[in-house]
Amino acid sequence: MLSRFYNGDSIIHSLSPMAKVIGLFIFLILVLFNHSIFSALFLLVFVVGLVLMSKISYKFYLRGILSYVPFLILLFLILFLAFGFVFAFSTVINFALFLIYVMMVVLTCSDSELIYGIRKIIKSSKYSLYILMILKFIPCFSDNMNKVLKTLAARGYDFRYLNVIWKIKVLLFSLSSVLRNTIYDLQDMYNKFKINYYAKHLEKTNYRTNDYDEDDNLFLISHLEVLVMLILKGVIL
Amino acid sequence: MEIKLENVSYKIIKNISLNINGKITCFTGKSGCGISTLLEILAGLNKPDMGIIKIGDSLITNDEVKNASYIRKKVGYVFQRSDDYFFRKTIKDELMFSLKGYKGDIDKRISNSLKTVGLDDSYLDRNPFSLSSGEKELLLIASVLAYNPEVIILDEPFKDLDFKNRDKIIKLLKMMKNRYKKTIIIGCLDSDIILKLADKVYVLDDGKIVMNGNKYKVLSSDLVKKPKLIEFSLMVKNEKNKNIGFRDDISDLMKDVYRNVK
Repeated sequence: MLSRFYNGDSIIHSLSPMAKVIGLFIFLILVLFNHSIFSALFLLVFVVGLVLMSKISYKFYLRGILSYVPFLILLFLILFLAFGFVFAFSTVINFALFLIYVMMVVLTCSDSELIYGIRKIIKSSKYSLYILMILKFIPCFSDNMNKVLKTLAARGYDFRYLNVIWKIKVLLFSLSSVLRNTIYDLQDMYNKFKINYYAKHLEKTNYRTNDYDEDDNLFLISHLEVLVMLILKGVIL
Repeated sequence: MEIKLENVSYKIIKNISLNINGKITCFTGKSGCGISTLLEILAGLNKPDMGIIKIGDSLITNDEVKNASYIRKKVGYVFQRSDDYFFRKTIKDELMFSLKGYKGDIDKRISNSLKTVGLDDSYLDRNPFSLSSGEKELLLIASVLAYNPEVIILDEPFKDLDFKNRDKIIKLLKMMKNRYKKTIIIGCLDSDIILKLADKVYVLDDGKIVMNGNKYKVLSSDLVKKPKLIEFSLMVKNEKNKNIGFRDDISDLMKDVYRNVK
């Protein structure tokens, strides 16, 4: 399950959820304003470094990103026709990197820690819950896509052995099912959080497993360094 | 049809060898012990990291899958969550989707598979998502029966069902085995179902088979009793979680087995 927290003893696991959320925000700025292939490859190295540090098998991330490959191809084709190869390629790479980054955050941080981190920054329980749902959508979609593709394989429509036309057909068939199941899963999660953590009359505990410390500073400085470097190189802004 | 695993390892599953042929076989154990993963291996849906899977005349290893389309025709898989399975607007379309390439009378085949599970033709134009969870489970089984596989694998089919639908499916599976000579493989955590259905039971713990054999032998063994590898759900409990008696539908035979195991 890609949408689940995997307990571990890596440096990324021990970071404060607040640092991870700020890191994610900086990374979002990086990928949104970067349209150079060189810097996209540089960010790829940066993300691979974080993935290795998380000590979670690369196969998890690979399985997660594979579910998005058809959509990345579609995005590439649209952008390629509209803006040319460089813009299309760098945008698709950036988008894929952002997906991997979100998966890393979700896999190394429990839901309650993550929502705590978001709430610390934006000071709103309601909107922090919405942001959590947006973040969770990415791995949840992958999970549901994998499940639906497996059910299709069991019915004789194994994606690996289909020709291109059937591959497109199967993707179109499965898309509505995947989206529906993802929304149901998120709805369940939203209700669970609303009842367990954000009922107005209930007091909340301040117990936290990962407090903000030196490692979190280093983690954020590394992100800021990348941001400043790309600004100085004239890639961003 | 025979399914054979030789030293198969995949994810949590470690070095499993077994041979299944023609009976109702149940896999049980604690939740998360690798039952679903093993069932998917038996259905040929996953390539093993190590070892060999033989499904009838077909062979699956880490490098290759020989005769994949043969496996899909011969092995039907009923998934745990029915919502993942349906995506067409009507039940008729859903069942037709499973019958790609079938050259006979499709309408008759669809109608028969629905009747076999106790649903009638009035369901054909309904949306699969408008059904109750019990009906969805029955539809799932009907869509597998539609292409008439020799082996039917069911992953916790009784999870969301009431007693009436449970009995319906139990009778159906017994009929499949006795009348149509199908091989039935079930992943099940409920000892009640195991007692009612299984010819052979495999108990899994942490991805390994720790015991197998006759259901009475397995359920009364110390290995299963002591670490509580199977949770008993035959009893009715009060608010303080104490057993206050057997459920109404439990037979005397099962009560005896339960007392012996206790």
